[in-house]
Amino acid sequence: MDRLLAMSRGIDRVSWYAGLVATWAILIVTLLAAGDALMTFGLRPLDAANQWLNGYGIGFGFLLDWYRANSNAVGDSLPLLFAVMVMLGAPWTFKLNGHVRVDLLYQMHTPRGRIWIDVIGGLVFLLPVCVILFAYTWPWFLHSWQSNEMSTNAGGLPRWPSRLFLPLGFALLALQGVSELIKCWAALTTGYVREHIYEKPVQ
Amino acid sequence: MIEFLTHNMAPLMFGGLVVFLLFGYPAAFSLAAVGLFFGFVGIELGLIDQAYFGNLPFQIGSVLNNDLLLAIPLFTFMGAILERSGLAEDLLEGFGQLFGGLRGGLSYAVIVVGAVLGAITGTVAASVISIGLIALPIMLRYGYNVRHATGVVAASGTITQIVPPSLVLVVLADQLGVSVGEMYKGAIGPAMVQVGLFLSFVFLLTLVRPGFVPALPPEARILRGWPLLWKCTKGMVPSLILIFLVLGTILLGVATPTKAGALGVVGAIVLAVLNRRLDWPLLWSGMQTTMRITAMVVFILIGARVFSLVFQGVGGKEWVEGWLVSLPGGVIGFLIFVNIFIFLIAFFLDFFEIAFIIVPLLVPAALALDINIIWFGVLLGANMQTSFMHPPFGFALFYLRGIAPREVRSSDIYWGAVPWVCLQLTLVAILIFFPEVVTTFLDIEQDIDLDSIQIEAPQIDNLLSAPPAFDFGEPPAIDLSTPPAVDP
Repeated sequence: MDRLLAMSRGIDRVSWYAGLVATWAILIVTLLAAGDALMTFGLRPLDAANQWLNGYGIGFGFLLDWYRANSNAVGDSLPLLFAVMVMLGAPWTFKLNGHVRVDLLYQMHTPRGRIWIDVIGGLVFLLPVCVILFAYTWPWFLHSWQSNEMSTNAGGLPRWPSRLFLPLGFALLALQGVSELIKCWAALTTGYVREHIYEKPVQ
Repeated sequence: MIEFLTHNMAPLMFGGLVVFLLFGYPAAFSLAAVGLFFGFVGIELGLIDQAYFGNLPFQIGSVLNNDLLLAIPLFTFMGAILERSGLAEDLLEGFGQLFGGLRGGLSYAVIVVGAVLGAITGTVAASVISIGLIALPIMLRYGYNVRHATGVVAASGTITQIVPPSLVLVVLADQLGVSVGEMYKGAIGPAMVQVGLFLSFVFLLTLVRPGFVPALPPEARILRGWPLLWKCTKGMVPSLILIFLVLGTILLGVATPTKAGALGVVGAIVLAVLNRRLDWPLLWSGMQTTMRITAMVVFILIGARVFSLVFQGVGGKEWVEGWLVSLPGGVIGFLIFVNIFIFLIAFFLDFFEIAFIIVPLLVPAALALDINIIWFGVLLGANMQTSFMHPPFGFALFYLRGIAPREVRSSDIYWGAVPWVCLQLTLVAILIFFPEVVTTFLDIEQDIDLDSIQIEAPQIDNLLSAPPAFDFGEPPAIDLSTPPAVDP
């Protein structure tokens, strides 16, 4: 049992790092999207300023050209980062017991009954769902990767990275599911206490 | 037996959904499990083609590739920062002092501030927590009735869901396939009616139960003249700038909701810096909350997509539509049924579950009955306000419980909410019988919207009826050599 719990802690650690990436993705998305929005208003005045400064030989046209050449890459990176925060954030959220339940009957159960719900749900719902969805999304990613499929936007990013996060996320989620099952089993058989009791996630 | 299964697959699947959800495992995974389980049963019975399942990656991919849904993290993040940016304090102190001398003045102030905060943010948490923390202790100290005080705070915080730019309206627009800008325009009228209803209720209370809502004594009104004006300006100017950044840019059509949300976050951060409230722990906890909510919400949508892909495959859409269209009373009968149903189901499901599971089932029937979808969406949004307010699970009450002083009993919070839920239902009734409240603000572009909906529907059909050339009779390894023929 100790070895299993050590393994569970190892999985939690992996999920924590994935969650860390997902958390940072939020700040990056915010800055990229806000910067992009500001540039759509700011491009024309900046162009004018550039023209004026060109007269003095200190234009910054190369910066504006650089932005124009890469603005589609910025646009393409937003959905990519969205996929990162959802798919890499889900395992850690699961570890925190943060996925919403319909708790009408759940709240009437004893703590032990709730553990059983997590055991049955983990074995019958979560693991099969993750395995099946992994099996469907992995070939989808692989095909995109092998054919090096590009975004339809000129100068955009390749498609495969955003597809990679689907199977990756389902795999990590399945791993976290195993980790939680170990904790449930420990809680049922030994004096182990699970860290996160369910509280309705607030939004 | 097989015969029975084949003919009643859709109702059985719906029943399965209820059972799986009630089991109490996280809804996102239960939804996907129902979908996959009935999907495989459907394949066994020959109801759906194996290749149909090849749509799964596209369905899930389209959830993550959705620019509109990216607004969920951005609006949530904005709310998390605004909540502690000091803006609500400035607004409440200013308006509280301004109206304080009136009977019921603090209630008026709370409602007005709720509407202003609602026009800035799109999340209930941000509003209820910031209003409640400041206003509730003051109201209780000066002798406001406990139930009235908690009720007005919860209701004013919830008003943000019908005042654009609300997250509820963004998600509904996505599910209904209409433009967010149009939804926002449609919600302007109802938001004003809702604020009007709340203010009139307080006014009525000052006549009937003056003891519930006393005026502030003169010694409590310390701000007068220029300092008072300064306080109000300090609250209103940043508010108006933020409203322009988020709502203004969307309504003018110069920014998508996602970009407007990002601008709002930056605006909120700048405001928090100016008020010297911003530090790393605040930002980090905001990011973490946002990450958890985003993952939780979008996973419900992923589960719901898996479910609805299969539900559609077994003819569920037609079953629900036929059933809803045949309700007695035509359009009004349909609307009344739908609203009562959503009001009741909201006791058990939270807003996002309703939006992702129930709403897509209602859309075909609404289209078949020739109902203006924007109006329908705003109506649903108004109705779902109640899901944040009704005891015992309403989020607004839950937040309020978290921040209310200890002497406030939970039963006070629950009973206090009741009159306000009735006022929200009054708005729903007004909207059903006077659609003009919504449509007046939609310009003349209504027809164009209906067209764009009709264009969108066949596209979805194409995607679903033309599956990629996966062959699932063979192990996945072989799939790699036969790539999908459809480019999403």
